[in-house]
Amino acid sequence: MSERISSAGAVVRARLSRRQALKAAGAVAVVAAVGSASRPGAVAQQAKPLIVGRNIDDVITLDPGIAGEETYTVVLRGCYDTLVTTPADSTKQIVPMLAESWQVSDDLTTYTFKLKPDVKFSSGNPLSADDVKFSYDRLKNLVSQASYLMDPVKAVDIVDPATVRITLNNPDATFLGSLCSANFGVLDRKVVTEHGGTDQLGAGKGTDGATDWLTQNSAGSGPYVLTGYTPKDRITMSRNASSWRGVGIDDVILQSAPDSSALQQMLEKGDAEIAWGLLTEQLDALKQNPDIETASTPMLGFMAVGFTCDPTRNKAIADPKVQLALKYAVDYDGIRSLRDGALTPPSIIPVGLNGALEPGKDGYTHDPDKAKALLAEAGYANGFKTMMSASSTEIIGGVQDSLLAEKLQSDFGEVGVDVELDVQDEEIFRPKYRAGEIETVVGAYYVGTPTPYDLIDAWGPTGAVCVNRFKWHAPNHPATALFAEARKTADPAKQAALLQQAQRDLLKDCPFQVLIQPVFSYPYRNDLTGVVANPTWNFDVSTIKRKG
Amino acid sequence: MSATLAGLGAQAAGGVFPRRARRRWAGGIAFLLARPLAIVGVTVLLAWLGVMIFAPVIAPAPPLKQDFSARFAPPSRAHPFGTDKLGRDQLARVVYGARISIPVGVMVIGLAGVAGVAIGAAAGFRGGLVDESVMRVTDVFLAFPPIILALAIAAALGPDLRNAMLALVAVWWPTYARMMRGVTLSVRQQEYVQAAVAAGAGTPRLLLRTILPNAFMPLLVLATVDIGSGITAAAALSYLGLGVRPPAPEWGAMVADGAQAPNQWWLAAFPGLAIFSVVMAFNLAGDAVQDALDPRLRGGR
Repeated sequence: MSERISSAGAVVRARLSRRQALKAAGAVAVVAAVGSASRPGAVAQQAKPLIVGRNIDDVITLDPGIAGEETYTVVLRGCYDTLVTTPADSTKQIVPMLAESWQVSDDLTTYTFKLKPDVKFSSGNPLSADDVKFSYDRLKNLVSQASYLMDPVKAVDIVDPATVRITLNNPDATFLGSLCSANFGVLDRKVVTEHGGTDQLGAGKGTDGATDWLTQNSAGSGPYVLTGYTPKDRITMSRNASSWRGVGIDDVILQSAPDSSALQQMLEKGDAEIAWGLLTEQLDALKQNPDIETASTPMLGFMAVGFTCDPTRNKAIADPKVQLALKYAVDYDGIRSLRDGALTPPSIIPVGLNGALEPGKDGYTHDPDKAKALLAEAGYANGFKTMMSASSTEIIGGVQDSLLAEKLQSDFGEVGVDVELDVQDEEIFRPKYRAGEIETVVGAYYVGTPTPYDLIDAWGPTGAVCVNRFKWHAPNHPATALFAEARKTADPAKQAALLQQAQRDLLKDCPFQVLIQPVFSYPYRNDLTGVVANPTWNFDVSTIKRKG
Repeated sequence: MSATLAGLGAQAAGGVFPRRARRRWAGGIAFLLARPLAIVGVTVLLAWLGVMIFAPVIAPAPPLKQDFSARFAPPSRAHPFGTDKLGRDQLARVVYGARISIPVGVMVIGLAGVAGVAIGAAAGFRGGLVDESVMRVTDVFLAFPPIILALAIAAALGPDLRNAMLALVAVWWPTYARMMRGVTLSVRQQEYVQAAVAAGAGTPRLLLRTILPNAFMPLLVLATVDIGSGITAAAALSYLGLGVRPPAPEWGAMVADGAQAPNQWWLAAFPGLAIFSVVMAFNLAGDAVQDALDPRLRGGR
C-alpha cells in the first residue's frame, strides 16, 4: 500500500515541470479569453449571479454518492465531472468528459478509460485514476439509494495514474450510459478523506462522515464549486477557477420558491432568470410573455401509481387482481391531456430510449366495467378503502403529483374504491415512501443516465423501487431474464426487441402502472442564452450566458 | 346616509321602543331590524342558510365531478364561477363549501363556548385553588398567538378537518372561560343568589338557574362576533393544508388552490368572496345583537 502511494508520488513529481509549463500556457489562453470578453458592460453583466428559481425542498444531501430526486442534478452537473457524458441536446451518443478515450473488451465486461491530462480539482489537487477508484468504491460502499449504479461493477482498478479499468460482473452493453450518471461524479479523494470520507466497506454504516460536508461544499473538477446550502432557502455555487470547463456566469444561486405561483412571479418580475418546476398551466400562461423564452425536452421518465404488495398494509391493494383492476380504472387519455406534448408510455422505458413500447399498442386502456368485474372476482364488489400518498410539492415536467393523485381518487372512486389522500410535504412524504410505508402512491421517476437500465434497475422485478417501496421481489419473473439478456446484447435492434418483450411481461403483473411521460420545460428571461434542456441533468448552468 | 342614521337614532331614543320591554326578544328583533347594516347581515346569513339547505338544487354539477376537457375554464354560462385544475365546477364547490365552512366555524365557537363556560363557571363558583389553577392554564393558552398555537396542535394531530376543529377549540375556550368566570364571580355576590343559597339550592341548580341566565347575553354577544373569526380561522388552517383533505370543497382550501394559479383569478376570488360575505354578515349581525342587548344603547342614547 505505502509503496503504491510513494510510487504515485514520484510520478506526480516527475511530471511537475511539464505541468507547470502547461499551466503557463493555460494562463496565456485565459488572459486571451478574458481580453476578448472584457468590455465594461459585459463584466458587470457576468458579475451578477444567475438566479434559478426552484423549490429545493427535495434536497436531502448533495453528496454525489447518495444524492437523488431532482434538484441535485443541476448542482452535481455544475460541480462534478464524469468520465463520459452525452451531448447536451442528445441522449443517443456517448462523448468524452474526464476520459479522453476508452476501450471496451469484446465480451463487454472490461472498460478501460484513458483520463484527460491535467485536470484539476477545485482544491488544486490533480485528478488521477486514484480519485476515480475512490469515488466509485465509495458510491458502492455507502450502500445508498444511488449505490445500485455500482451493482454491475466487479472491480475498479488503477492501471496507471492516467488509466482506470472497470471490470463488470456480467457483460453489459449499456454501461457507458450508466457512467454518465451524476452519481458517478469524480470526487477529490484527498479533500473528501480529510472531511471524514472513506471508500472502504462499511462506509454506509457510519464510517464515512463526509456527507454533511459534501452537502455544503463540493470536491469536484466541475466548472463550479458548491459554496453553501441553506434548506428551504438557497444553494449557492461559484466559479471553480481551476476547472478545465468554462462558465458563462460566475455565480449561481438556486433560490427556493415556496410554491409554483411564487416561482412564476419571481420569473416574471425578474427576481429569477430561470424558473424550474412550473405547472403546465403556468407554462402556458408564460408563452404570452414576450420577455420569456422556454427550453423544453421530452422527459426520459414517467409518473406512475404504485401499490404495496404487503398485505399487512392493505390486504385489498396487495391482491394482484385488485392491482390489475385498478390499471383498468385509470383514465389514461384524461391524464395525458394534462400536459401539451405528453405521452402515455405503456411501460417503464420512456419514448426516446431504446426499447420503448409504442404508446397505444401495448398496455392498458380505460375500462371501468372490466375494472369492476375484476374487483368483484377478487371479492371486492363493494369496493374497499385505501390511502394514497403523494408529495404536495413535487412537480415533474409540469405535472403535479398531487393533481394526479386527485385524478386517480376520482377514477378509482368510479369503480367503487374509496381513496383517502395523504398528500404531504416532501419531508414527511419522502421518508415514508422510501421506507415503503405506503398503500398506494403517486410518484415520478426519470433517468439520471441515458440508458433504460437506470429505470429497469429501479422498477424491474428485482429493482429497488419494487423491492423497497412496493415490497415486490420477483427474481423468477420472465422479465428478469429478458432484461438481463438485453443488457449483454450489443446490437441495438436485438436489444430493443428483448426489452419490449420484457416490458410486455412486466406489464401483466407488476405492482405499479405508468401514467404519463411529461415534458421538461425551463422558461427563462430572454436576456440569457445557452439554456439547453436535457432530460438527465435538466440544464447545465455553465453554458448559460447573458446577452450583450 | 349619516343623517338617516342619526334620524333613526333619534327615533329610537324618542321612544319607538318601550323603555322596559316585557317581550325582550321581540323588542330585540325589532331593534335589529331598524338598523340597515343589521338587515344586510341577517339577509346574507339567511341567504347562506338557504344555499346550505338547497345546495343540490343550486349547484349546476356535483362538486367532486371532474371534467378534464374543461380544466381552468373561465366563468361562463355553463360554469358561472369557472372551473378548477380538475375541471370541477367552482360554483358547485362554493355552494357545497358552505355546508363545510359555515358549520365548522359555528361548531368551533359553539364547542369552545360550552367548554369555556363549564370550566369558567366551575372556576368562578368554586374559587380558591381550582380557580387559581384554571386561570393559570388559560394564561398559558392566551400567551400564545392563537393561530400559531392552533397550527402547532393541528400539525401534531395530522391534517384532518376534525383535528383542525379540535385545535381551534383548544385555543378558543380560554376566552369564554375567563368571561364566564368573571360573570360568575360578580353574580354569586348578588343578594338573590345568596337568597337561593339560603333556600337550599344545590350547586347545579345555582349554576343553571341563577348564574347561567345572567351570563347568557354577554356570551351570546361574544359568540356572534366570534363566529366570523371562527370561520376565518378554520379556513386559514385549511388554507395552510391542515384542515380538510382533498377533494372536500372547503373555502379555505379552495383559496389555497386558487393562490397556486394566479392566472386564473376566479379560483381564489369566489371562495374568498364567500368567506368575506359570511364573516362580514356574522360581524354585522353580531354588532347588532351587541347593541340590542346593551341596555345603555337600548335605553336612552
